[in-house]
Amino acid sequence: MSDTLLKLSDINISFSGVQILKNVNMQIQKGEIHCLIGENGCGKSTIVKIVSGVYKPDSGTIEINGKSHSVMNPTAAMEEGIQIIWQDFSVFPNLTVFENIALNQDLYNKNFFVNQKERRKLARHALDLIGVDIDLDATVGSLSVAKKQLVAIARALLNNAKFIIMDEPTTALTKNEVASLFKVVKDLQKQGMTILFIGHKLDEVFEIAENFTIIRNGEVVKEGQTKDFNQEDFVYYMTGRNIKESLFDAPNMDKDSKPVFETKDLCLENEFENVSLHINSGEILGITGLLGSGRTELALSLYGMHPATGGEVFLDGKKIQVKSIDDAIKQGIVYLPEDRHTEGLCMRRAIYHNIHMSTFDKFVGKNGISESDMYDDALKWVDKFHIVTPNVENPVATLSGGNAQKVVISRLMSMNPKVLILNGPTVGVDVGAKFDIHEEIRRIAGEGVAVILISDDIAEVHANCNRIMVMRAGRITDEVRNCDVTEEELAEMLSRQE
Amino acid sequence: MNKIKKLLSLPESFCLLITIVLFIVIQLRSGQFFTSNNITDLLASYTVPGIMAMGSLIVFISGGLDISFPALCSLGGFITLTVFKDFTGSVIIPFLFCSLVCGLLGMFNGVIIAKFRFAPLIVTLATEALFWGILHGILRAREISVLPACFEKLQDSVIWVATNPETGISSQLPGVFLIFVGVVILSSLLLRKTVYGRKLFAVGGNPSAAENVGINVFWIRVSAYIISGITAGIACLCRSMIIGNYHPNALYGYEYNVISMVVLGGCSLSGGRGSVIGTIFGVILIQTMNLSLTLMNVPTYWQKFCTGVIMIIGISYSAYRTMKSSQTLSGVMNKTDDKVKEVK
Repeated sequence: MSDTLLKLSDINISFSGVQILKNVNMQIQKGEIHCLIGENGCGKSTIVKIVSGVYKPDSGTIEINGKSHSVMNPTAAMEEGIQIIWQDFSVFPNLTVFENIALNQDLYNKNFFVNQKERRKLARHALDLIGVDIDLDATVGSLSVAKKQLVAIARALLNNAKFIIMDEPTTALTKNEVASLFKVVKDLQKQGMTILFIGHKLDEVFEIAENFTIIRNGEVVKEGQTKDFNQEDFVYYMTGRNIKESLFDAPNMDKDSKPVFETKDLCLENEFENVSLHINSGEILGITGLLGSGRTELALSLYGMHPATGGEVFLDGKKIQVKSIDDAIKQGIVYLPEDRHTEGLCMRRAIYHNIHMSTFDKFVGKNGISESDMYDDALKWVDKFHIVTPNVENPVATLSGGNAQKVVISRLMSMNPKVLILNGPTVGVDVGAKFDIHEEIRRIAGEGVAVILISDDIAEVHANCNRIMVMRAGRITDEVRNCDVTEEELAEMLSRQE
Repeated sequence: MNKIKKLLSLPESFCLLITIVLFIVIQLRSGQFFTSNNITDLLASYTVPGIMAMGSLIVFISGGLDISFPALCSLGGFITLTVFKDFTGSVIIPFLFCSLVCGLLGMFNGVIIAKFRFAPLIVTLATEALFWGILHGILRAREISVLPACFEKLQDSVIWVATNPETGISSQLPGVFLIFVGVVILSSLLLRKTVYGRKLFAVGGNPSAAENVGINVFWIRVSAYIISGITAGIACLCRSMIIGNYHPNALYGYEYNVISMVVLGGCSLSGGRGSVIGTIFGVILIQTMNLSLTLMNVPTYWQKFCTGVIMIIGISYSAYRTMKSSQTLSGVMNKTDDKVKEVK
């Protein structure tokens, strides 16, 4: 067909002897939204880098608009109208919105002087193209992630783009932001733009893409039209195994005993009020709500980071005070933060150091800290939570998202907690690894730890929490058992307006 | 009102505020501050640190750091003054020559830092020692008490003479002050009006993004060090002309002065933020303080003490502002209250 915009044939590439892509063939038609999906590390980003000319393939050809390129380079890619929106957006946090958008154009035209008036006009025009309104003089660093992304998109459009590649654009976005991004993407398609969407979240693929290519371990395993497939097929092709989650029903819950953890009318000024919850040993309690519903604030308050300004907290029936993180830890309340990279781990430190970051004291002997004891003990945790690594002395940064998260969980469990608060435990984790983490969480609950799972991933909460509380505008508005509702009903509760 | 608030929130404003307070305090203590000859003396004293600060600012904006420039320009200045010892032509020639030598030395810094991605602090610490070593060890530099003849005309030029009617002391504003003014205007134009200047900000703000949009990050970084070398070289010649001689150790330890000025002027140490106007406020603040405290017979170590106090206040002020702008709580209930009000 003459309408093929991009055609990759028999692309091979290897790095230091490891073959990353094997005979990859892929076609993208003009004007379509195509989705390239696969688990992390399967070679998706490598394909992007080959198309954009950052990497050179060992063999194979790239055909763009019928023209064959054996080697691409970034300038040639730009001239063909290929624009990439990188995962980190590649924006300049210190510059204003209009400068970020217009800088490319100045570079492209090899201008010497800048014309601020012209640049503002250009930036306004670009933002109009995607139909959004952002203050041109705002510093980009002060914008939300979603707006940063819109700035990156606007910048891409200016350079005569015909084909936009978006590398995992939804990773850091909330549900609402994803929805408005998709609207922008669909508008662009109507204007004749071709879009390649790189992702790993399945529901999003179904929502946006017409055609897809699935990659596993560097090989194309399936391609076709999204309407011919369902979610389970996708999971199977992506992971190579059949995954089906059952509804968790707290089998080890001791129904007659008193709750392990309980709050009464907990309040934090301006953030949430009258939160009363209780949880028994062996239960997984889900708390869900949209961004800004107060769910994260509640978690931080239970953990003592922002101590509650009113209400009472009980542990094992005794009233306790949680005025600081230190208090919380002493009482056996531990917290898994939303962003494991910046709040949960020291990425450059060894895995075994990370596992024992909270329990260094245990390994202090006469001769100071015993590295070997720490090492040996860490192996137990690696074994217990199935962390896949060749060596626990490797830095955490070498692990995949799922395994890194298991390191955080190991660290928390090494503190022998009574209450485990998980805030978004599978954010940015692959389908397969997500399933594994859910298994671990269920096992932890089975050992008698009271688990509070906070997440905006409705499917996750629905499948893994035997009881779910819905938060809206700082208040608990609903409480249901997971077997009594469907995911759709739960989603409706989240966004219901009074 | 909003505009005033926005202006006050700029880091530059802090520097300006402290400067104004300082002026008033000195005037109250000595009564001699706002006299024409004192102001003239002060303006003249801004020349050397001011020119150097512009180069430093540009390096800071590109995300780098240069502490070697006093050694670098002492070396470049000595070479220039030796080469042009008997030269009688235009004064522009030795200036160009000095810029070339210092630019090359700056390039040496820049290439090492940008090519191997070493920490700029370590590299310039090393080259600083290297430059001092070459100056004293290899070139055996000594004081040059008579400058080459070609400098004479510029050296003797005077913009104005101010005489204090009470004390009868008169002060001159030397012609080289215009060089300072020129460097400031050029720096400002470069940073604000040229694509090159915006590239400096881009590289300082996010180097990997700069790479992605096709900026040659390596050369931008190197060029910043070249500029820093050139401005320092010019400053060294200017200093020799103001004082009337060259001494190889005259600028020893000067980097701390200049870096304090740039940082107090609101420049970010991590790159991508800073302005010419803020830097000038920084120069005025530190230099005025140093000079005025001398006039008030305050011992040198108290001057350092005061610089330290002002730096700490300056840093705390910007840290406090960062803290306020990155609060973790979002004020969920407040937002909804607003909505409720809207509905009503």
